[in-house]
Amino acid sequence: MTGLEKRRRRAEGRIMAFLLAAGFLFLLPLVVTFTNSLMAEAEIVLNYGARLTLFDLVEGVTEKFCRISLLPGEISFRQYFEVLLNQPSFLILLANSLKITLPVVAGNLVFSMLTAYGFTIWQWRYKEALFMAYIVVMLMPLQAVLVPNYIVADFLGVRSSYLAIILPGIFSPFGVFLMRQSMKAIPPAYFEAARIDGAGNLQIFFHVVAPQLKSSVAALLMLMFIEYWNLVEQAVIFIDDYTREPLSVYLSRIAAGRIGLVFAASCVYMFLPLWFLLLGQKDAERFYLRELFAANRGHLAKTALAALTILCGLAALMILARQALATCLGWQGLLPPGHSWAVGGFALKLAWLDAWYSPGAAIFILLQLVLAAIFILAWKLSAPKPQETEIGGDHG
Amino acid sequence: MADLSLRNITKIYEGGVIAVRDLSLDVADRDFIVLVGPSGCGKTTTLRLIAGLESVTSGELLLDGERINDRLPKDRDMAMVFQNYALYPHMSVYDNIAFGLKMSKTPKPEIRERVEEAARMLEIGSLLARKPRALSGGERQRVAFARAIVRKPKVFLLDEPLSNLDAALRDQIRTSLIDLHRKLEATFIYVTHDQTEAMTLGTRIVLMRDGLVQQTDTPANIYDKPANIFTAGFIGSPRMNFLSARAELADEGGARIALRWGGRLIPLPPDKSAALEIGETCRFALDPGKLHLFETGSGEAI
Repeated sequence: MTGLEKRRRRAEGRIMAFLLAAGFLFLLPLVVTFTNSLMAEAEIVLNYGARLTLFDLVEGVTEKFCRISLLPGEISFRQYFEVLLNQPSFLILLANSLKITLPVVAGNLVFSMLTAYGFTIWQWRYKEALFMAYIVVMLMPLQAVLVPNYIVADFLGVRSSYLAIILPGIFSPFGVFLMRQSMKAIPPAYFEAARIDGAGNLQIFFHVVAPQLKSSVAALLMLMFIEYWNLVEQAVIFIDDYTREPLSVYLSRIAAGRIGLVFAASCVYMFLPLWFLLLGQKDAERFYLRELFAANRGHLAKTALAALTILCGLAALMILARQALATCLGWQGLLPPGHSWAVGGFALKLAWLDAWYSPGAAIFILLQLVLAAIFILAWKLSAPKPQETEIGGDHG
Repeated sequence: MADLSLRNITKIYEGGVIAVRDLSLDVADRDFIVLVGPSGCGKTTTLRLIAGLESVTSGELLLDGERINDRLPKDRDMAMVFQNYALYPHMSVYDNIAFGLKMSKTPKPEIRERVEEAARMLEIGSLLARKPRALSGGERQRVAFARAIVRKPKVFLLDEPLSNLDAALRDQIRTSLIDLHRKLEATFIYVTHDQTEAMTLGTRIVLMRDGLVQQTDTPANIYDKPANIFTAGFIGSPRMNFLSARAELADEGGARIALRWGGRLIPLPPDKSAALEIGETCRFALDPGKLHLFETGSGEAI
């Protein structure tokens, strides 16, 4: 191994360590939310007693406590059952969120692609000035445009309907900006070739331009979906009927009522954007998986992937074994309050099991971290995608 | 039939840049015209004017006697091969070739037939399912040709189609281009900055500089009888040498004119001496390819 290679390895190691640390910070809340969503309601109340209910006071409980507990003592889908099947309000609010988000995402995509296309193909005098105006509007913070939006919505008579949120969303300038920038990257020869081949403007758009913008479209869809899925301000201002609120507003209130359901509700709430994210990442993933296994490259990443597979297997085995053991011996429900590591109560007393289990929990987190790190690292290590030769024409 | 005429074509860009000045050119059916010149001379602009990708500022474009200045590119019955080939990256080779036919709503069986015929002609039949990304430079180039051929246009416009290829491949494709021109019996207009390509491919060469045509002639005439110093200097490898000399009488009392250069008299052939007066200073060019060395005392010959 040459000195240069050693240094490169060391540098990669440092990057890896940094990514792991950053990944840990970013993923911890997600992991906790997910694992806690599998807890029984009772266990949650025991761990997150920060909000004292009237009943607590009656029973003389005055202590406030909040323990981040990582693993459920007993895996239970009760929370999901409550949220998805027993509480129609949750589903109605979920539908409300979709009613706002989907029209915005779809409408914005169509509008911004066509507008950007217009900016790309037509040459006219004040084009750049108009585009500048788009950018200025885009840079305005939401709070600055909320009041004008409110006045316009009032004028249009849609003040308390979803349209007051949807219309500004559809015509938000960010998409136009993103799409125009990516259309700029398409060499003009494509447009000209298509024009000579007899394609009209719309045909060029659908056959030549749109298919080349897949990744930008995915990015736009993702960003718009997340933006409007997570909206709070607009809903608080425009929607005055609480049955028509989106989930994002309701979620902050669910904790006040039934804290035991908040984790499952959050998970369901997160699921859709996550699904969207993964949808958009499919292309990217396929790309870096290919890169990972490409010869002579990504050696470190390959090793890490192998390690990840082994860790996955181990963790799964431990969780399964523990669960089986707990079930067989009937330890469920014996969980004493106050054990933050959420290990079966009886098992806690067996020191060896505790020691055996704690690394298991650590590995569980580690898995998530490694997964995040590995994708980012693979991204970094892989060479930039080989571009097709695009040499600007010599307009002699 | 495709007789293309350019009558006093001028192109001025918005900023006031004059790209082509008063260009007139008659292209006969089945001609292989090569527009050649240094970069920035207006040759690509001329091609784009013919294709309809740029609008003509003044002058007339005639195809078979009809004015086509305002005709859309797709209605001009021309196909163009771009320098970077402009193969749509998301389409397979087949779809790339078929695109123009699909746009003109040709029936599917006919599309298939014509694409396969073009593919056969360019020997890319085995590549039809691939994406352009998976092709070599030479293969992409042939696909770009196939895309032009399949539409059976009257005029082929080729914009430096060989400039992205390596030298060996360039030679090979140059030969097949000549074959193709013969087989297709169509008119070719070819833009290049490479004089070797111009000399080997063209039936006629249009040499341009700063938007002006310097000379339009057959390769042999351009080489042997350059119209001006620029033409003489641009064509030929190795390049010509330019020297200053004074015209004198070749011999006492005779009519022949010779050039005095470096203490030596170089007699001129009669057709070249007509333009010169005795005592005039002029510049002459020596073509290194035609210089012969003689034994001492016998002097140089031109």
